[in-house]
Amino acid sequence: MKKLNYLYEDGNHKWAVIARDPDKADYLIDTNEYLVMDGAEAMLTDPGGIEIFPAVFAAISAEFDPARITRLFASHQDPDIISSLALWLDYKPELRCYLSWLWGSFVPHFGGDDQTFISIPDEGMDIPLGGLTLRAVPAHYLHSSGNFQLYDAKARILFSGDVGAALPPPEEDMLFVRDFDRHIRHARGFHQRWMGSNEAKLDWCERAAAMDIDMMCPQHGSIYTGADVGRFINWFAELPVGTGVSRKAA
Amino acid sequence: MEAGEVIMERTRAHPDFHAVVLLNQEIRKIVGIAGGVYLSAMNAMLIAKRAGDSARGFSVVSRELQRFSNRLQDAMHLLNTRIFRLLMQVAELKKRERMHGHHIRAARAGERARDHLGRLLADQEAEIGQAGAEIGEAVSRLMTEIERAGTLCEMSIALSRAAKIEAVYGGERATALRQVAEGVETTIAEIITTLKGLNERLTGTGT
Ligand SMILES: [Fe+2]
Ligand SMILES: [Fe+2]
Repeated sequence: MKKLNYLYEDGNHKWAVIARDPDKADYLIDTNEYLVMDGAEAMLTDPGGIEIFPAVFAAISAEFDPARITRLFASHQDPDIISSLALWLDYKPELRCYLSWLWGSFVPHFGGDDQTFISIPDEGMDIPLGGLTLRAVPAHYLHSSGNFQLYDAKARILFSGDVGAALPPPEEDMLFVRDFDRHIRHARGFHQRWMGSNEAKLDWCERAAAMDIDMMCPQHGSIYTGADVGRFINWFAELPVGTGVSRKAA
Repeated sequence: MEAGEVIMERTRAHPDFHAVVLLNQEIRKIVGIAGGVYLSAMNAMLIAKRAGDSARGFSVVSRELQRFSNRLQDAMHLLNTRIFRLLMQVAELKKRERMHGHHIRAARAGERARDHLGRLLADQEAEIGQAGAEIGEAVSRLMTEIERAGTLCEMSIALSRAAKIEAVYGGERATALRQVAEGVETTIAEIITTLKGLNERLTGTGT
């Protein structure tokens, strides 16, 4: 069963993760959904696939009134990110979804219409939520060609989408990274295969290194905290990507 | 109509599941209030202990109150579990209905498509019917738990009144004891009212 865990609380300003579903079928990749709350409003990042909608919806409702969710944030167009869109809109038709302009006419294949999407330009944009101003941070080609992360400067939390994702075996699958060196072994193959551009990667690493980040929250696998955030950025900067396919196969 | 059928009718009649979400919100509210009874009962025990011999009667009653608050916590835990499951079931049903909707649209697109999809549509309808029936049963079980919690609270009202009476003999701590007893009584009354509201919503008379 999925469960909502609070990551950050400062009065009405909160971050929670809906993580880890041990009951989920093995053929589905496990995903983390994040709920950012401030005052009366909340935004759900990468709400997930259609198959896991019941688990996500029930886990949120157990702790929080889902009617308060006013916005969705889709980092990119993948099915594990946003294929549950139509089900969310069934529940609340007035929901708005932030999404890269690049995918504006692709994602409606999952649901929604010309009223649903708020288009994010390539350079990113500010996103108001309650009394907060969040930032859509460009991370194009990491891995999607129109890809955004979500930064909360007040909480110093970066929702990093597929960047930082890891696929650990169940016995090492923890909410937070405990042992960076152990953890990162399960991230290597993912980043080498899914991330396609070394240039885009270095550009992101430079920008990320200049940001104040206490917690880096990926859409798959454990959350990086404290010094592990910097460790990840350094590790990623040095990792050759776009190399996940062997020459023979090419 | 049975309470379960009302929710079932509603989830079928509406393309959304707001009824169950609202129910969940209200149950969470009651669970929160019930936590207050537990704290008050603990407080009553402490004050009674400090008051010593002069509050022996109160001490006995407050021990009973604590026993009640434990049972209430258990009842709330069960309510929580039930409503969580119900919510999952309803969300799952919505998912199935949406998939079914896509297939119906495909079947309407042409006779050939209808031939190919006929069997699937029938199976889906059966599954949706089954899921609806299970939701009905889940609602009935939930109703039973709500009624049980209500009865438990009604019984404990007498207990909190007894505590109020015993508080009078609490010597210099009488005021503190009375306040605690009154606090418990008010909280239980609030739970009873909310539970009644829930019952009305479930049987369809309240909305
Ligand atoms: Fe992806
Ligand atoms: Fe992903």
